[in-house]
Amino acid sequence: MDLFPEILEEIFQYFCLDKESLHSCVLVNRGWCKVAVPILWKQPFLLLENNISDKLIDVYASFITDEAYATLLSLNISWPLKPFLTNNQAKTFIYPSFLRHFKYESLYLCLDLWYRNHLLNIQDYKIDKTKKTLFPYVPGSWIQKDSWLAPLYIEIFKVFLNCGARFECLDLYSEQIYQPVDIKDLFNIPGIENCLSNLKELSPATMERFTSIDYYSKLCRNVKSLKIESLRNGESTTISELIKVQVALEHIYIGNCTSHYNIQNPYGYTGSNKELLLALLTQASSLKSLEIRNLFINEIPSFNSKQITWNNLESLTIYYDNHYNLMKMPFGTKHFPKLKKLYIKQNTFPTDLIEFIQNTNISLKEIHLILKFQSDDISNVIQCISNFCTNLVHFESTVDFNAIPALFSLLRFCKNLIHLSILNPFTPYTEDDYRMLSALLPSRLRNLILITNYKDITDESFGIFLQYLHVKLDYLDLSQSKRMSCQVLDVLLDSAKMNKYRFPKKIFISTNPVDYSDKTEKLCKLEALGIQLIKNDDLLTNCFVCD
Amino acid sequence: VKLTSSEGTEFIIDRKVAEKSVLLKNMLEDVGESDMAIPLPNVTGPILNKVIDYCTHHRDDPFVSQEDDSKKVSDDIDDWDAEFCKVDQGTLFELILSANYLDIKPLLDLTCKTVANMIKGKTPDEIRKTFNITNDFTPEEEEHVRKENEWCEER
Repeated sequence: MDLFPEILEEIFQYFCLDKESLHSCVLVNRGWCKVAVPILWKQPFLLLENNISDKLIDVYASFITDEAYATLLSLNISWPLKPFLTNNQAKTFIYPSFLRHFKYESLYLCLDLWYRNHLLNIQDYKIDKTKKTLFPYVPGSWIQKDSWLAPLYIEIFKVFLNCGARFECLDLYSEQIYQPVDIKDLFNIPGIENCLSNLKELSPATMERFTSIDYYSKLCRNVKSLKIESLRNGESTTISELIKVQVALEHIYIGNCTSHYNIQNPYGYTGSNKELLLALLTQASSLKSLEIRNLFINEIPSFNSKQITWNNLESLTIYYDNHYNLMKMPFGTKHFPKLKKLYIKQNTFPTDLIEFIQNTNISLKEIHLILKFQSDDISNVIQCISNFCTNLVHFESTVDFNAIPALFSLLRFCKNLIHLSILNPFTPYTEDDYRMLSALLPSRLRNLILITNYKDITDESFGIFLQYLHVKLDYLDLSQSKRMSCQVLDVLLDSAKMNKYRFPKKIFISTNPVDYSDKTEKLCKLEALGIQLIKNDDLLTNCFVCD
Repeated sequence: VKLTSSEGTEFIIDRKVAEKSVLLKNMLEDVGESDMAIPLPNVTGPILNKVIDYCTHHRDDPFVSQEDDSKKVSDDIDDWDAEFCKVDQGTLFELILSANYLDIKPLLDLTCKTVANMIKGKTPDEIRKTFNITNDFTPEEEEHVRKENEWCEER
């Protein structure tokens, strides 16, 4: 029985990030090829991940028009195009037309490789020695490339436009300081309006946000997802404008890199992001997810919270891994009726977090609270969650010694919990704490992660925990709280004998490079009880599997 | 709700189960209460039986809005669903076609995921053998396509 193309397309969508499988599908037969090629060529730059490819450019470059070739020729960059193009044959598909995800940086890295490879492949007698010295490859020396990279880049970009590509994602962000092509030049190419008419995701360039903002605001107004990487001093006005012109944004990420400059000169950063927060309020009704990472907020704007409701917001992330800490929730504590996921990682909690949780209690299903500093608030906040968030499914939190009673309360009340991750970087828990923890785990819990980077869980506590377990966990991850030793094997053996039916399906334990003693005999005994040590590709963890 | 398969076999099911199919849901809303059986000429009895099994098991599942294609993953099949899909290839393909015809998105997703897992990691030749597919490329065509997609082989 044959599957018709629509069904094949449904199936191949599962490989949209798996280029090996898609590549196999392309080569099965004509029918499969026709369906798989557009999916494979939709986002080749994404499939290459960190790799770059000159062979991809081989194909795109073959679509360069004669006119474009003449332009390049006039700029003295006749080869490597010429030898390549003369051997070229008509392509089976108009590959550039399928491109949906454009990645600015990947294209110039691929072009750079392509140019170098073709340059080096040309036989000596064909090389114009003067040109070769004009375009040598010197790592880190970008300036020499300006003369050929920018015109070549623009001609390849035109190929996408001429072939009718409709970008859904325009990723202009570049980690490198050097940007060989002015973004404005790309936005001025005829046909760009059509190419961007279906744009859903935008990640603006790093270096030219000030000068290109008019282009973004004119051509990209119907974006659903906006990603601002490395927001820099003084940019908030232009980015605010970009946010405000959007019809209905659904996802926003704003991140500021933790630069040495900011750490060393905390007073050097003068940008106020107040207007940025006000711009975000204009999108409140349509936003589904909002992530703020390392964003310096020195003043939370006052606004009428009754007029602004975040009716569709499902996920809110506040993440600070630098010296800075957000003291209050940036958009007040009310009107988040659909919030499912709350993620906070910083030094201490915002002071109004309890109020926030009380107001959004019913909808919250996933909470992550990761703190760097020990605080009395931890206990109060966890107690509040246990009182109000009874629909919780996923809970990850710093739980210091003092907060253990609050955690036990949460385990009693949040019966739907499936995933629990406990981080204790401070004073270790007692054996009694582990006994209680084990006994109180909710019956639906499947995954438990314990992280105690201050000190390993003792063998006694580990044994007690396993012996008192009364739920069958899919995995118990102790890879950051317990190191492998002969004693660990003894504990596993004893616990497996005492509590065989509740032994976790998988237990992860950190490897211990100093422990060389022979474990074979103990491992054999464990195997006899149905517990096997599986060698993992990840050499940092041991995995015990209980069948 | 009464349904009739292609051979004329009649099935009686709860309305809630029937409404897992968007096609049937819309028909029932249009027609209202009726004793008339709904004919399903594209679905055979044994396949309809399997489809009903699936819809009955998942009758209380919430409606999930369509996810973005770029986030599709094929390794999140639960135990019951995995067991449900342990059928011969012909049945699996018929289930896909029926799920598509009856517009039951979760069943279509499940069966497509199962086929995707059968393809994943295989060479073109292995895929052809698995699904009994004839290679209709001419040698030149195959060579062209292979050359044009050579970038996929880079690591």
